[in-house]
Amino acid sequence: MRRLIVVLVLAVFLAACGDSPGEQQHNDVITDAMSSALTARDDVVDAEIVYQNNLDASASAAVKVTVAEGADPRPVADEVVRLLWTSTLTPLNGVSVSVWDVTDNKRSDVRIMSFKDAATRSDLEAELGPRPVT
Amino acid sequence: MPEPATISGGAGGVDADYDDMFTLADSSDDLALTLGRISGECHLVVGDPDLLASAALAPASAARFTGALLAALDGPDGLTAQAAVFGTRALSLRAAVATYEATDRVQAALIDAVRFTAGLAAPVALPGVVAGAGLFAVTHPGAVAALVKDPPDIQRLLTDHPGTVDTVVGAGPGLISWLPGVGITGVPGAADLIANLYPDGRHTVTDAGVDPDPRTARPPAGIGDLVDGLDHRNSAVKGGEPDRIDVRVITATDGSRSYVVDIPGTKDWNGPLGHNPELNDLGTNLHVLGGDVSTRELAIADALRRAGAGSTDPVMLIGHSQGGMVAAQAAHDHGSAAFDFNVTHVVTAGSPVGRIDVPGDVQVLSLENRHDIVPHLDAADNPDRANWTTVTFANQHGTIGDDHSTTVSYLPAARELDGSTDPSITAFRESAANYLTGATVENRVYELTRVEAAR
Repeated sequence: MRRLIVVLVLAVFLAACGDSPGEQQHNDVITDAMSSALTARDDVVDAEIVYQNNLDASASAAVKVTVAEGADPRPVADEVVRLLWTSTLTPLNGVSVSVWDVTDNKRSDVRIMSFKDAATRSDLEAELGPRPVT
Repeated sequence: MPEPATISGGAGGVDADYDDMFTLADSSDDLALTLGRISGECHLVVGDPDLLASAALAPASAARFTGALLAALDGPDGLTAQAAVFGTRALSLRAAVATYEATDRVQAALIDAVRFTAGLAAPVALPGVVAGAGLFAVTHPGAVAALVKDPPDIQRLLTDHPGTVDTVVGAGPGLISWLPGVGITGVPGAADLIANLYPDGRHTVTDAGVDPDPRTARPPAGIGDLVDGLDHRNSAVKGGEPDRIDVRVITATDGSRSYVVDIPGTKDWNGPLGHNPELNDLGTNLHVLGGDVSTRELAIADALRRAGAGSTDPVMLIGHSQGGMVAAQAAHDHGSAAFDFNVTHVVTAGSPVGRIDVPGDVQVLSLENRHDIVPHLDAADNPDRANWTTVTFANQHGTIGDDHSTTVSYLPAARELDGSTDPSITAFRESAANYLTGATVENRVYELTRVEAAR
């Protein structure tokens, strides 16, 4: 029982590692705007962006985009990365992007990235400039 | 240059060495018995009637033969002596293993006791520490000013020294044992108490369809692909939204099926006493720590049934954080009414599972980031057993969350393992061939919810 009480106390501490409800709401507005920007493209059928900052999914964005039949997933994946990098979502480190053809599910582009990784950061800064938030 | 991963347990672990020593002891026993039997049979030859009859005709030759035979049997290097040597070796090997295992147990208990005592002594020592700190502040005002101006990064400090968490969790029980009313109840009793604080209700499961995401559209081919699926589901499930798990139904070329379940971690850090529909909450953590069959575990069993799994189909459970705890507890319960499935493998990522008793017929692979504090929440190392491999790697990002992240910490480490030639990792991969050589896969998503139990 003592161990459980101590773990309970630690859990309260760990729970504080995540975003507050206000911060979550703010970030949801940003991800909704990004989804709208993606679905406005002719080659995109649907887009879903999930941003989380809690202990078990820290500073992460998971993006799923389906593209129209015959569309190339690669430029769409490039656009997703650009939108995330130039967004004010913060903190943001782990990024996973899945783009696939909704009709045959054979052509796809999957990217798993760490925005804190020095090489990735350097490449993206060279291409897109520094992130607007630190 | 990243630190190399350390691998303990599994086919190359200490317990496997103990098993090898037992096997050698058994072989030595067999050899001792065989040599003893041959020796006995050969002794009978000395009294053989034909030999005795020939002794009357050629006494010298018979005496030479008998002498040579007895020397071969009973001499210093004879069969009887060899039988005794091998018998003694078997005894020594068993005694050595028993000693090693007892020492391991005593060391673990000693560490628990030292931490408990440190906590118990803390209130006595605390006034002295406070007085010392006050004296230091008076005599070193510059150092204090520097600390105030540039306070240490607590997250960096903790992730650089995650063993602190072991000490806090281990010492905490001693520390709070001064409080009235908390010093007598054991963990099973506490589970009842916690169950009252966090009512676990009962579960409902909803089929959320087949996930076409390319990350899980191909059958997994390695440990990296297994953890990729876990990261995929973990990144998609948010707090405050229904708990979701994946059941990857893998079909082999012969039509046989295996099932891989991806179980994300805690997403809802709720307070006690109220009903919470989200099963991936703090309440489930506490139920599993108390050794309960949690409602989340029962919901996963239901999802497996809905995916078509029968009680003999091979099942692998993969979990991050709380997901790994639930997976290990389900493995503990496998074959019982609570979780009537053939759980053959468990993969945990950043989970405090060292105190969960996983049976020997389940192969466990635990991935732990050296800088992740969460696996330390049980203040116990994972057991070094032949069926339990623990990979400890170093992936320091400087924050508690990133060091615990499936995306930036655990997935890259799992990908690295695909190239590992370590005997424990190789043996795990070979044992998991059912799951890693499938022809097709269908990723079915299930929504798990807690509803209030009928009163």
